[in-house]
Amino acid sequence: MEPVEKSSRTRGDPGDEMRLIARVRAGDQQAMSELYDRYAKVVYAVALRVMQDAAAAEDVLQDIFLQLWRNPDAFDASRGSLAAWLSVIARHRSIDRLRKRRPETDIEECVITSGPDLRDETERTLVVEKIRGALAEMNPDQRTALELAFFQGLTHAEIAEKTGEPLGTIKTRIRTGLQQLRARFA
Amino acid sequence: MHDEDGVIVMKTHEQFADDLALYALGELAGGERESLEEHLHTCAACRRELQALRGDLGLLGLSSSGPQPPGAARSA
Repeated sequence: MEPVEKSSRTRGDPGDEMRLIARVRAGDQQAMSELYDRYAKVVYAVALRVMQDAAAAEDVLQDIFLQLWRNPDAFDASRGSLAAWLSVIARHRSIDRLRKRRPETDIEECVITSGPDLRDETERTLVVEKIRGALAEMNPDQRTALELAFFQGLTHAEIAEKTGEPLGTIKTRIRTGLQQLRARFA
Repeated sequence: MHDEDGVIVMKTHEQFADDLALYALGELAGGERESLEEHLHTCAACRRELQALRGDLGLLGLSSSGPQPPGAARSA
């Protein structure tokens, strides 16, 4: 992919993301390069946090953008943010690799409907700060359960064993922790 | 579905709530997964909540920050 000069105008326009995806669907490599420049950092950050290995995280990064290039229709632009979608796909793929298993979730099946508008880069920065704030204020036990489940890919049974808490408590902490994040944007 | 002792357990709508988050994470397996998927076919409220939880996972994923990815990946 050739480097693409980024302009503040295009990066701040939410509709531009949809136009870029439409261009990728039409086979436009330059549009793909621009999407990569915008979101590679999001994918790499999640993959690196999950895998704790730069080379393995890079493999996940390449794999995900290659899949997006080959099958851009897997992302439903009308339903949510590409950044949020890519972050979840990065988590799932990283954990699949850690467990040395075949991908369990097809990217087509992973529909992310995000509340806040994450397509605008400025808005996204504010949203990310808000999410981090919500996590910082969360009950530490709840935050730990969420992070172990999402970023370390532990099952609820593994988390229960690690923390010494009942299974049901862990399940509820994961669910209510996610709902607390959502409530920040209600 | 069956519990760990093989006893048939019927879950109520409310009892599926916690399973939805695990399902969104891809961590629900076996009978619990089958049971939830069966319930999702008939419960619009749970389908909506599952979508919302998937969106919440997207928010959680965005909370990560890290170094710039290596340049080599870009040429793939």
